Amino acid sequence: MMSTSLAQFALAVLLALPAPTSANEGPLGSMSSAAEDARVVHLLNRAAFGPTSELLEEVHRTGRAAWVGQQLNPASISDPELDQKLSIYPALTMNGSELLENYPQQNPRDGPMGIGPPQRIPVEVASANMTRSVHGKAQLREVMTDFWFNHFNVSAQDGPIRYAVVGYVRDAIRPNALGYFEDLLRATAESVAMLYYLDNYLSVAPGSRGGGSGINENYARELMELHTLGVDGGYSQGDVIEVARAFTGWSFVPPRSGTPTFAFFPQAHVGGAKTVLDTTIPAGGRSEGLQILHLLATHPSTARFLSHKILQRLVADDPPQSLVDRTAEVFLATGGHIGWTVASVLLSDQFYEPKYRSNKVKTPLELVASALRATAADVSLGVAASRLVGDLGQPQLRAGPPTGWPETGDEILSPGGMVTRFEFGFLAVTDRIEGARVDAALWEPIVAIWGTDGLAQYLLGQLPSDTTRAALSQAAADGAEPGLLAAMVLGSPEFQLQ
Amino acid sequence: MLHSTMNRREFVTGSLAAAASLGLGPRFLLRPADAQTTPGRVMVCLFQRGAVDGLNMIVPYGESRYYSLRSSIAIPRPGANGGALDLDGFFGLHPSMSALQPMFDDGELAVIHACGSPDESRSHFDAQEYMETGTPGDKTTDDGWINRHLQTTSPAKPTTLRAVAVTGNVPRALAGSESVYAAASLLDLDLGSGRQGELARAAIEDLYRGRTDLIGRTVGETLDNYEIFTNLGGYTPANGAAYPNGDLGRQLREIAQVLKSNLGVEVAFLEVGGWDTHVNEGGADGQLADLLRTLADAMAAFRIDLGNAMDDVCLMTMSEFGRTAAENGTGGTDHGHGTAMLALGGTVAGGKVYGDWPGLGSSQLYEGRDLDVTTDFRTFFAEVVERHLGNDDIATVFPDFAYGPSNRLALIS
Repeated sequence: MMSTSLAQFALAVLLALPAPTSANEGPLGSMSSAAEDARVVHLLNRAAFGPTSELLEEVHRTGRAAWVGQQLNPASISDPELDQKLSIYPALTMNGSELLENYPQQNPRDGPMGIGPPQRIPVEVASANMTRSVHGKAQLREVMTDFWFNHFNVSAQDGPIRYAVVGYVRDAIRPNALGYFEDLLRATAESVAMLYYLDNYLSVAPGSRGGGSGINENYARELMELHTLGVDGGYSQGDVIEVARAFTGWSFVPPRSGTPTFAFFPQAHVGGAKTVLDTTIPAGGRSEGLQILHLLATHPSTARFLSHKILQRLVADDPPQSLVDRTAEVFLATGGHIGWTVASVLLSDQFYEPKYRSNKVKTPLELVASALRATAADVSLGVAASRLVGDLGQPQLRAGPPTGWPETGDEILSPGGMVTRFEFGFLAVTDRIEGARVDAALWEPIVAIWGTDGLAQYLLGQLPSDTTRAALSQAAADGAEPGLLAAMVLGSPEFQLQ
Repeated sequence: MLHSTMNRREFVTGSLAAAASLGLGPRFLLRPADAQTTPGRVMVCLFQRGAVDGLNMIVPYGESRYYSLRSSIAIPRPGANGGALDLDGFFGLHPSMSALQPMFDDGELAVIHACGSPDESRSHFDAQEYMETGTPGDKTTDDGWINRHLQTTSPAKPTTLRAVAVTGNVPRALAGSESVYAAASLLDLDLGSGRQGELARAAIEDLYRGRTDLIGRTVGETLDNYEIFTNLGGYTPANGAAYPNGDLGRQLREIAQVLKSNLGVEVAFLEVGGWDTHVNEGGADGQLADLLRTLADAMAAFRIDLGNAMDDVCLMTMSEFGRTAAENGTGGTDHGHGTAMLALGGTVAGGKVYGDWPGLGSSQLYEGRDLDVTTDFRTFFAEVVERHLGNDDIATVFPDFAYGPSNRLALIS
C-alpha cells in the first residue's frame, strides 16, 4: 500500500516541519522560553500521557517535530527498562493455550489453579497498559493504543474475552495503532475478542449446521456505525444485512480445542454475491469480508468519521470542521496511514492555538497516568493505579457498550466524580497508591525553597494561572502542609484539564 | 459561582441568612430548612449484581420438583429445621431473611417471582446492561431507564439532587442527560481531617473561583452538594433501627439519612455483589444465607428507620437473571433465567407473591434448565414508575415495550 503519493506526502510533511527549537537558542532568546514551554507541555499532554521533567528536557533539546517524528516509528524506540517492568505480568507473552492452562476456569477443588483465575488476565493487561502509559518511551503509540482499543471496544469482563484480550491488545491493536487503518480494521475483524464480543461467531447461514441460529447483524452494524463510516456515513439497513451475510462463517476455533484463533467456516457462509454501498461483492467466501473491509477502510465517510474522532482526542471535544476536512484529506492521501494523519495534526499551527489548550477534561486514565508521571512515581505494579482508573469512572478494558468510554468532558465529569478526582490527588502525592512509589518527602523542600509557584511548575511543567497561583499561595499562608499543596496542584483546573 | 466577591467560608458562616433573603445564596440554600415540606414519592433501587438465586431466596417449597433438583442446597419446608418461612402456603422466605417476614405479613412487602428479562442472554454483563438501559436485546441505548424517568418529569422541588447513587460510578440505569450524583459514600469526603481538610475544601473553592466553564460549574455543584451533606451532621437511626455492618447497611443508612433530610431526592440507587454462587452456595446456612441475611436485615432496618416516611418510598430489588433450577456439581448454581424481586413500601400492595408460576417440571423450565420468565422486569419497573412515581410517559422510559392494564401486576395500590 506504500504508494508514491504517500512518499510524496511524507516528504512534503517533513519539509514543512519547523526547525528544531530550543528554549535558549531561538531568535527571541529567553523571551521564547515561556511560550515554547507551553507548546511542549501542550504537545505532551495530548501526544503523551503528560510531561515528565526528563521528557520536557528531551523535547526542548530535540525540538517538537523531531520528537513526533521519532514517536511515529515506535519500533525504533528501544526501552529495556519498560521491558523489565513488564516482565512481572506473565499473561502478556502467552498464547491462548498457555493462558487456558495457567489461568484455568475451574473449581479450586478440581486441581491446581496455575497462576490464577481467568479474571486475573485482564487485570494484568490493564496494569501493563498503566505501566506503559507511565513509563513507556513510545508514548504516542500508547496514547493511540488506548484510543483504538476504545474505538474497537470489547469488554474484558465478558467470559472468553478475559483470555482473548491479551492477544487483542498485543497483536491486533498496539502493533497497528500508528500504522495503516485497514490493517488495524482487519486485525480486529479477525480477532477472537471482537468475533465474540459482537456475536459474529454466532452468525451463520440459516439452516447450516454448527449450532448457530442464523444471521446475527450485530458486528455488521457496528462495523459501519462505530468502526468505519459513522452513523451518518451513508449506509442503509440493507447494507447491514448484506455485510452480515458476507461475514457469516467468520468465527474462531473454540478455545477448548487448542489455541483459539480466527477461522473461516465455509459451510456456515451464505453463498452468492452481495451488494454493499452499491458495490457488487462477487461470491468468494472469506474474500468477501476482506473486500468489504477494504471498501469501508478507504471510504471518504470513514476518513471524515475517524478524523473527527481523532481530533476529538487530540484537539477539542468539538473540533472545527476545517481541521476535520484537512485531516480527512491527509487520511485519504496516505492510504489511511494513522501515524501520518496524527502527525499532520500535531505539527499544525492550529493544534497550538491558545483556544485548544487546557480545553479538554482528562479522562480517568489520562488523569492517573499523568499524575504518576508528574510526581515521578515508580510504578513497579500497576494494579492499584489501574483500579483507581476504574474508581474514577472508566475501568480499563471494561467499557460495556461497543461505543467504549466517552471522550468528551460533558460525559466524563460529574459532581460526585469530582470528589473522587480530588481524593485521587491526595493518594497520588502521599505515596498511598500501592506499587506506584512516590517520594512524598519531596514537596516540603520544594515548597521551602521555591514556594508554591515552584511546586506548581514542578508538577505542571509550567506556571499556572494567576487564580491557581493565588489559591495555592493563600492555602500555604493559611498553614496548608506541603502534601496538601501538592494535592491541590493535582486538583487544579490546570491539571484536571489538558 | 454567585458569590464572586466573598470568601465562601466567611459567606457561609457570616451572612448566610442575609444573603438568602436577598436571593443571593448558592444553590444549597434552596434546601428547605423546615420540616413542613411534604416529601414527594421516592424510588430506591437495590441491584443485586451477579444474579441472585431466586429459587433459594423465595423458596417454592410447595413444588416437590424443587427438592429433587437441589439435593444438597434446597431449603427445607416450613416447620423443618432450617425451613423456609411460609409466605402463602406455596412460597417461603429463605430462613435467614426473617427480618422481612413481619413486613410481608403487614402487607408492605411484595414478591414478584419468575421475573426477569425476555432476552436469553446469560452474560452478567449483557443482562445487567439490558436491565439498566431498560431495552433488553438492544445494546445501542445510550441512557438508563431511571434517567429517562427523570427526563420525562419535573423535579418535585428545586434541587441538584434528584437522583443519588451510592456507587463509585454513575450506574448505567442512571446515566443520561439528567444530572445525577454518584459517590461511593454520599457523606464522606476524604480530603484530610481537621484543619487540613478545611484548608483543602477552601483551596478547591479558590482554585475554581470565577470559572463558568464545564469544570467550574461541576466543581460548584460538588461543593454545594458537599456543603449539603456535611451540614447533615451526625445521624442516629430512628425507632431503634439497627443496620447490619458492612457496605450494604451503610449505603441504606446513608440513603435513609438523605431522604429524611428533605433534599429533594426522588431516586436513590445502590448495589451489592456476591450473588454469583457457582460454588458452595449453601442452603439454610452458608454463603447465600449470609448474603440474604444482610440484605433482609438492611432492608428491614431501612424500613424501621424511615417510620411513617416509608409511606412514600418504594424500595425495590433487582438482579440480572436467576440461576439454574438444578444445583451443579460444585454445590452451587449456574447462570439461569428467571428470578425473584422484592418491593417494599407504603404504596406496595404487599403480603402477596405476584406473577404466574411457570413450574419446575422439565418441560416447564426455560431451555430445559432454568426457571422461566413470566413477568418481564419492565412490567414491574414500569408499574413503579407509573403508579408510584406518577410518571405516565412509560413509552419513553421503556421504549418498544407494550405496557398497559392487561399486563399490570397491580402491586402498587
